[in-house]
Amino acid sequence: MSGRSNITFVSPATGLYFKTNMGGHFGLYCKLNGIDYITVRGVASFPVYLWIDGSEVKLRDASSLWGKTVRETTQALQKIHGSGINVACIGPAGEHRVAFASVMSSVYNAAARGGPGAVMGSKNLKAIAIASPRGTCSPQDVPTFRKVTQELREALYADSMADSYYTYGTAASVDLMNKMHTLPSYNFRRGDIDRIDELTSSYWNDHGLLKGRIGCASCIYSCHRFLRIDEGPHKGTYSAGPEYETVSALGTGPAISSIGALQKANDLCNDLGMDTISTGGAIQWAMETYERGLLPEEYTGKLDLHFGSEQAVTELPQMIAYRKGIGDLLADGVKKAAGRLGGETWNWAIHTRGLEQSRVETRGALSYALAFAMNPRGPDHLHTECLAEFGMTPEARQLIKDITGDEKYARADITDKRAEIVRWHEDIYAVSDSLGVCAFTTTAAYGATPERCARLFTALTGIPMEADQIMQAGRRILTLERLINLKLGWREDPSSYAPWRLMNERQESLDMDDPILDVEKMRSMVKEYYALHGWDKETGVPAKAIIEELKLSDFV
Amino acid sequence: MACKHLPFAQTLLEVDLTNREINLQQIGERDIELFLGGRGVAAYLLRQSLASSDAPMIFSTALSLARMFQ
Repeated sequence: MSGRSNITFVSPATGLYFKTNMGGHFGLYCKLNGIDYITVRGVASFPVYLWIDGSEVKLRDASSLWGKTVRETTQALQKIHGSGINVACIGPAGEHRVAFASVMSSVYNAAARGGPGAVMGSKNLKAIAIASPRGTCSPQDVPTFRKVTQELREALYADSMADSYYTYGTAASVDLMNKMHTLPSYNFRRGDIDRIDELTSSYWNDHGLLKGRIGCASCIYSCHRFLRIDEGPHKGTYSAGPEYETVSALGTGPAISSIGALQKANDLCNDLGMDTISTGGAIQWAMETYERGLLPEEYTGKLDLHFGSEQAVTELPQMIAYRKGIGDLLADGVKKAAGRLGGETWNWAIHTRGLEQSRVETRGALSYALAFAMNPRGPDHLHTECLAEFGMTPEARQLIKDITGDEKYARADITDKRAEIVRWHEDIYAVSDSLGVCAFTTTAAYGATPERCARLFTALTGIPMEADQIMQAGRRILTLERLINLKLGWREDPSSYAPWRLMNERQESLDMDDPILDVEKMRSMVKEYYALHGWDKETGVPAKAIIEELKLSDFV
Repeated sequence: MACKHLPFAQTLLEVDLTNREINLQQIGERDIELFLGGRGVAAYLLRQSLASSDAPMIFSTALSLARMFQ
């Protein structure tokens, strides 16, 4: 359990439903100031921030904050209200409505994907600042709550992944993935880079770059890590991360092998308020377009855009955030950038429906491929993390057996049973997102089972809930999200199951017979998935029967 | 301010930036039972407002912020 919180909105990148999640303490501060949800409508006539202090809630002038970075904004608000406050704010990228601008809490916790920062910027809302917690929260049934949480804690401590998350953070598997050729590199043309050493968390630990760890509210893992670069051209750069996704997006993707350049690019994204995954995706698209001779000089100027260019990854974030030069082309995401340049540039724009893909080589991980195709927010891991399909721990193999009936399906390169695996993960993920449970405890380590989540829910609220009911609630949320997307114009489109490259080009270094996500392979999994959901097999529209069963008739 | 859990309800802070209006509402027990909290209730709130030309952005906290590990 943690202080994780969500931001829900219509994405400027996709035009569809979007939910993005951030760690840290923002949610805890809201809750202990008596607030569970904040809806923000309309547009302020001048820049404002929202100040919450117990029963006092006010909109205040933020004109003096406009133009400031995330760090500067946070420090300025702390100077006004005291260092104990929590700040969620946007940086220059949000003000300039970059399609992948993030909202940052406590400087380093990102609600990054899908562009929530651009939505805040469009509303002239610079920040939400919350006073130190005033109240307490008590569950309905304290003894049962304590019992369940103790069980959860013990299960998570005992999980095979627990020590790894603490010691190495989310980047623990970078070295292994590079060896297995599954680490997206060179804009998804390869699965490895030649010099990986500096990008591994063991290197950071061994060479004294790791300066600290912090956990979200009440977390036992403390996977959030801070690195400082002590030598070289980026000496003094200090930031949270880089997390696994950032290592691939801003490191191996653009073929950068220096931790100094990677951490500089990562810190710029944090401070300017931008998603590292989409920023990295945009940079890689620009590099490949440049190397193919299709990027006119009017865009590039003197910028070296070859793969491996440290100049590109350390200068482009600023150009994107302020929409300068080629930055303006990239700031709307690779879909629109490819649309503007036209021709074959579409083929290496690694997105679907406008969202740059997370750093998963889905040609070699078919549950992920299906999950990304069906994810209401686009090709992203943080809605349906299907790590279990790799069967890398005893707990993962047991889970696959529980879901499918046989441990033999704990392999990522087959289509069999992928729909069942994806649906289970979708359901539990919707539950954990709604309860505020960190994904690691449900879909990486497996302590927060449906049964424990149900008992936790009942102990918290007093509302009776069984394991099958809470998984059905997860399915209800997924179906509601599909209904929202249908209202917003989503239509079944097999060409949007995955980025063009992944559906049409082989990743030759993958150790599998058929390393390509062709339409027929995807279609077979999608049909099975729709059938499991009770949705129309051809259109993906939820059938009347399942809508009634899930009590969603009012939402069609 | 303490969280009020009897009867179970959650608090929604509505901010209208155009008109500079701020209101407090309650999310009822039935909605929590169906959509659990956090992401689920936020999706419900978004769907309720899709007819409006100004879809809101919704911040939601964790239902279970009750210090599980303390």
